[in-house]
Amino acid sequence: MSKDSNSKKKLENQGWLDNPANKKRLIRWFYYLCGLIILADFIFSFGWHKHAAFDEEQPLHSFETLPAFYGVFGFIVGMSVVYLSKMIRSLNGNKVLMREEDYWERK
Amino acid sequence: MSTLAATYELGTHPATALLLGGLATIFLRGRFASVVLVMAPLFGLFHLYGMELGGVSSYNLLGYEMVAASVDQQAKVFGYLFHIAALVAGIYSFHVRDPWQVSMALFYAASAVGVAFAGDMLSLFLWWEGLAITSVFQIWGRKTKTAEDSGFRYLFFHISSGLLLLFGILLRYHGEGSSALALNSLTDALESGDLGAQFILLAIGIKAAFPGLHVWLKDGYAEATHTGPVWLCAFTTKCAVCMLVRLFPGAEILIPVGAVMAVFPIFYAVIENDLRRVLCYSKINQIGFMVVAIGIGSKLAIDGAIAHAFTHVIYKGLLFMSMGAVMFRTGEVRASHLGGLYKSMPFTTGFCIIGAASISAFPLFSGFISKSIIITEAARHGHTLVWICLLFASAGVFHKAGIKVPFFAFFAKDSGLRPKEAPPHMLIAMAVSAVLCVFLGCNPQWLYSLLPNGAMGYHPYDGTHVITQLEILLFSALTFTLLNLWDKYPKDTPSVNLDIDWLYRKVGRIFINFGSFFWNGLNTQAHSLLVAGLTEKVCVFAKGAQINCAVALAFALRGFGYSGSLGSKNDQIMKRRVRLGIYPVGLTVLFVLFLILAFLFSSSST
Repeated sequence: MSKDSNSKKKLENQGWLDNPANKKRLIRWFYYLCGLIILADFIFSFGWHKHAAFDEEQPLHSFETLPAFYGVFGFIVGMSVVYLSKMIRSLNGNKVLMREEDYWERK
Repeated sequence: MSTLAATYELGTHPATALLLGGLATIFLRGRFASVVLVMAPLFGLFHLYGMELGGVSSYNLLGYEMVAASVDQQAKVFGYLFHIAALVAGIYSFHVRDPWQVSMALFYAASAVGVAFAGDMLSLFLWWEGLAITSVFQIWGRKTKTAEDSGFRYLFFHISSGLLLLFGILLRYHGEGSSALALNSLTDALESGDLGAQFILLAIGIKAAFPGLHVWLKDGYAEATHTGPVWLCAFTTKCAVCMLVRLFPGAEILIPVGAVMAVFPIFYAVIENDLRRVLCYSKINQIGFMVVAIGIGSKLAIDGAIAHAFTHVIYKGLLFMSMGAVMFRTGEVRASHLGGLYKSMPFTTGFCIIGAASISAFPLFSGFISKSIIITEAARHGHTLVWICLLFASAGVFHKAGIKVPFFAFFAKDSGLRPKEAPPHMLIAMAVSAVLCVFLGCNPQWLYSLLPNGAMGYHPYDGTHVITQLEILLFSALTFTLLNLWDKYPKDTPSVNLDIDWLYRKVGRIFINFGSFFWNGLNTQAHSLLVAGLTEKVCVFAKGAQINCAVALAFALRGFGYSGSLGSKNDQIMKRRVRLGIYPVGLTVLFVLFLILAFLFSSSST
């Protein structure tokens, strides 16, 4: 009886995401979604006419219309943002912009 | 700007309902004040709806004919926006019982409406100052020492902004005469190097959080009460955007400024621990989009800026509300102390995710219909570098505001906190905003039809656009997922990050220390020289003279044979009495008699 209520209590405290299998499933679906959107981009690029954001004479025109340009761009941005921010925080073990929480209170 | 349907005297100013509400809440207490807080924006919205375009109302102040309000389409859009924001924030703040916060919040909203409808520079200035003074109570309302200090820093920026605005207006008035008071575009004046226009741009730039002038935003909002940022985020910066659209459409300088604003906050947001500060940085980033659009200056770009301001107020309010609810329940908004809240606050989590999806401009959410206009216009006008910056910013904003805020607050590690779900009025306010986010995202024509140029027939939902936007967002999210799986994402450690505020808070402290050393030193020197030194000496001198006179007199009296009680001991007593200023009455009478006799003799001899 007591064992039963204990496990129930534990279950209440356990969210759906605390189960590693669920987490894995979620991430896997996310990968599928990424693949799907790239597929859609390729189909759209070759099967239909993709609108270009830039005019023909602009230098970015030929890049921007490449399939998966935006995906690659997003990936590079995500990576570079994190690594650059880490550098802003501290570079080679030296603090750059990060300080202790009571920095302003200290005289 | 667009149409002039009819010119008639407006019976009342569009901010009347909010002003009256503000007045009423000064005297009302408890639930009554809260009811007024919700009803005032509703009445205002109704009042505004009935206003015809082209109406003006003038007001005579100290012999100046001021155009207190003029109704055009742009003012109306911002008027609707401010009223909706005030309504939502009012519902959200229903439990607030501090009369200062409640009444000042309504005055604050009224000032914002006043700025949107301002008909000339002078009325703009008055409302502009009103914004500064009324808004600071949302920070001071927290009643801690840090909040108080932060409020003063906030006020310093905003009062400076008002003074710069006044200075610019006066410079232009001096040069051009009364035509300079009209609220017309100053872009040409700015680009021909007019000093007054530059000051006005600087004044607006402070309120718009231009790079370098932005610290008040992340400093003040993060110290405000849990309801404070919901009010603050709606009005101040949007008033600045509104005025940029009016005064500086197409000013080239705004394009690079906006691009910088869109990009730099992203880095800060990734390493910031305070989640409300993350939202502040993403707010600067979103205003950057608007500033770029105003700089491009085409009709569609201007519409894009206004549309983005509209959607931004709603979703940013929603995000601040969800963080406010977390803070209300747990007393904590630091990522390092939160996590796993989705288990006990599921609704707040859901609303936060809707807000996050909107700010990241996911298709079907409100950010998408406005941000895409701006990015498209940047490309169409050949601003390649700026376009890359904006694309970078829109991928980055998803990374920080879109994923980081909900992830670290509601998911991530289990912090062990099991707070109750947010109270019902907060949930209602969040639900209203969330519904608006999705509704506008799915029905862009509703918003587009309100815009001054009707968005020029723009369609956000074409295949290319939806696919490319989803692609950029999903792959940005993919990096977040991978970096977290590889344990490479910056840890949410308790910390603060230095910003431009280091300049004025540290260098400023040096300045103050120097000032205190120099001026206080001068003061001490002067004190020791004059008050302690010279005065003392004069006193000693004057008293000494008295004593010496008395001694001489006593000596003279003794010489006359009046030895009476004048021994050497009594001499000492007399000296002391003279020094302290107490004489026996008899001696005083003797002196007076002596003086009168001397006077009589001298007057009779002449």
